[in-house]
Amino acid sequence: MEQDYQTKTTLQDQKSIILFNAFKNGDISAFSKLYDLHVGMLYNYGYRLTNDAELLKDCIQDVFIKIYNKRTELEAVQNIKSYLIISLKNKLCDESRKRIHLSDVAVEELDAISSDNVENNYLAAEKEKQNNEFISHMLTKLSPRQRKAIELYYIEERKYEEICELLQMNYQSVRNLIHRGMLKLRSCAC
Amino acid sequence: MTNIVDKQTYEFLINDDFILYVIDPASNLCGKWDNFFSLHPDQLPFANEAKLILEGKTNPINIKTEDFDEMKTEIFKVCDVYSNN
Repeated sequence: MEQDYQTKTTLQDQKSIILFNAFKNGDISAFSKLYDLHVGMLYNYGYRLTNDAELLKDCIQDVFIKIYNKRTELEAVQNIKSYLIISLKNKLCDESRKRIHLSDVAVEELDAISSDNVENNYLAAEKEKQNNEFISHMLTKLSPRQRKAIELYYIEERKYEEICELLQMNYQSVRNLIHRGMLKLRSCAC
Repeated sequence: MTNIVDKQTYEFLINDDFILYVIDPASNLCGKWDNFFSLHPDQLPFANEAKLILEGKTNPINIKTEDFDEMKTEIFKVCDVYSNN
């Protein structure tokens, strides 16, 4: 049994090396096969670090998107399996930190806006205007439902449960809708 | 982040050197970890559990194939794979 596993692992590792080299040389179909080969392993690993399945799926997606976008910079990577695992681990840690950090930033931003300094207020208003214009422009890139869900969540700061009721969708679909919208916004902003 | 393994196992699972030691034989980290386990034999059970997880020898988590397919479709859509190639 152990020998069967070792043989299977060695074959998988060899396949992984071949596919990764092909991908580094520009073969995009190898990217699809690399995903098929490693996604189960990544999910099993990540599930031991978090029980938030949606966060885990989002992070796995981000890891593969990053690899694809940076495919010309992967020359130094020798072992794709360890690279994927470490990337996923880093992504999960970053996302967890970001969630904690976001609440602190909000408090600091409130302080900044309450400043009496006229110039700062003017600059802040200008910046906010530019940001709003940029956000409005970016939102036009989304489908009507994605736009509505993102407006409700990020601008009106509604809870997922409220959005589910308003859009008459289930919890999971709302999370997916918002996540996909954000991915689209991110890719459009790059 | 919520751990669903022991804290000690979790520490091994997020240790880059340990991941490389288990996954990548070319990393030449055997000496370092052999030395560590000779000094801290109490850590071996946790390291072994982490090793099994990294090697994929534990029972796979139940997830639908469609979920993986959906994730893949999303990745390809975001990367604009087909229209770029």
